[in-house]
Amino acid sequence: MSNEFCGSWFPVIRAEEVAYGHVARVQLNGQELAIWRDDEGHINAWENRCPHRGVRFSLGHTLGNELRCQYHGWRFASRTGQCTYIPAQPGHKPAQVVKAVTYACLERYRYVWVSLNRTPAIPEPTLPLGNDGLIAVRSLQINAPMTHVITYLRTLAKTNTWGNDRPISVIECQVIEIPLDTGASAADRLLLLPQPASKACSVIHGIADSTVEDGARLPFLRRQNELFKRFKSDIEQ
Amino acid sequence: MSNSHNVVSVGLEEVTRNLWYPLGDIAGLPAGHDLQRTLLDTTITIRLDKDGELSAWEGTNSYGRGLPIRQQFGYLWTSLGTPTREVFDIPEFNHPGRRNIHAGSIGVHTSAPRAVENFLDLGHFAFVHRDYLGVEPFTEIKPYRVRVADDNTEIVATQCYAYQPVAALGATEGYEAEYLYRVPHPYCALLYKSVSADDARIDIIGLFLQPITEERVVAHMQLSTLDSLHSDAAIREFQQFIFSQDKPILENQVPKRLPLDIRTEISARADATSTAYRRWLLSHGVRYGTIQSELAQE
Repeated sequence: MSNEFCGSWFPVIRAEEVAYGHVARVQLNGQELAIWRDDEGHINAWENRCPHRGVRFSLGHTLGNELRCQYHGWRFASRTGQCTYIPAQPGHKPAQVVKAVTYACLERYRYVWVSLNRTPAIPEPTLPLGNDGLIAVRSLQINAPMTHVITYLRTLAKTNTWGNDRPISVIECQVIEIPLDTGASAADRLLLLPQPASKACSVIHGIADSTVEDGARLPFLRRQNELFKRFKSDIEQ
Repeated sequence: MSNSHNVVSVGLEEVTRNLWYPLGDIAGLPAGHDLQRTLLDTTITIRLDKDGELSAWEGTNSYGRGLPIRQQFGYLWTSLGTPTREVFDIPEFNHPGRRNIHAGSIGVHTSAPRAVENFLDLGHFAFVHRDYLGVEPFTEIKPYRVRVADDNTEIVATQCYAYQPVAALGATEGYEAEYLYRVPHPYCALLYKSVSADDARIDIIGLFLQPITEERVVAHMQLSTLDSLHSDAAIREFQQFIFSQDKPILENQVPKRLPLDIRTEISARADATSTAYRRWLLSHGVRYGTIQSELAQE
């Protein structure tokens, strides 16, 4: 299994939170990002500031395949970030240099992933998962640096004090796998994916690989939520 | 983005220390109390005696260094340094028939220069003040004139036009308002505005910023009007409503301090006043509330 994406690609938000028309605000390695989806479904991850007067793009809204800044109505094209329209000078085509700063991003395993690395050769994230039967459990902010989060999760895996027959394990470089005792399938598991938000703050994202009936979904998510709350309280202690 | 904005603090520059600063509306001060204010990261105390005497000093106890004070436009002004000039003038302020109304003092999490730029900006009317000071499709900003006047002491922008659905309280129909802007102080700006198509009425709005820190201000707003129909409270409320639309914009500008290197943020033709303002701050050596990148260090 290739893990070259590690340290470069990170999940930043559950894909379903990036609804059409919405501009979400996240942080990755101290870089604030505006995440939005165009009407064709394409996801964008942009530096969260308009290059004109620095207003957060996350205050703006989308117009199909453009994002419009809330301050002066400048419009920027999906994918390229190129400014397409400046309302104060409607007759002038904006210069090529007027662009939003864009980052590589994609939608996979129910999450939006971003790489701040500008080298295109970084392989896309690959986990030992199919695309079906996945549940984006939740994303919880942890007020601790990423290194603390990883140390905690690795210790969890090492000591394996989970009261479960199957071991907690580290798969890929930073991804932790926890066996789930759902009764549905012996192979059910929860993957934990840490994301460095800033120097002092991280996020743990959870992907469950489990078949959960619609009626059982809410209790299932509540159980996972208890787990996440325990992580947060342990790490922040 | 954020990493390059860490600027080593080198202490407050003299030119900024020597300016006059507004501390708010004198009529609104309770008499007989020592009132703490913050100006340029410095705690100061002001007092209005029972007999109407005003005083100000540095720190919280009355042994602090006494500060110079002025009363101008109904506001109390002070300086932490030695002012080289008096508080700027608004000659129209005392003209007969004018009502000068303190429209509010509002805390904003931004730098003083970002707040000034927003006040000087014509291009945001149709988006931030939609259906009041602007509306689509009337978004085009025609070329206007910007000049630096009176030995570099003031920026003046003239022949600024904007179509406004509701240019002022009580306006019943849209029309093309004419604006004139003055920037007589690094952290204070004035606009003169025609408020209807059929008479010569000019309203003057003043924005006087009291910088608390480099990234936090109190915005004191003054309105000088020939409106004789509406109450002070109604006029104040309209002005505060307009400002309440700007506040979330100001608090979401990244970085909060104004980059003076004009290559840092992209400008359009309509930003001529903003560009002139950035150059003007740089020419005066005003650093507080700004970011001066490599350009200033070359």
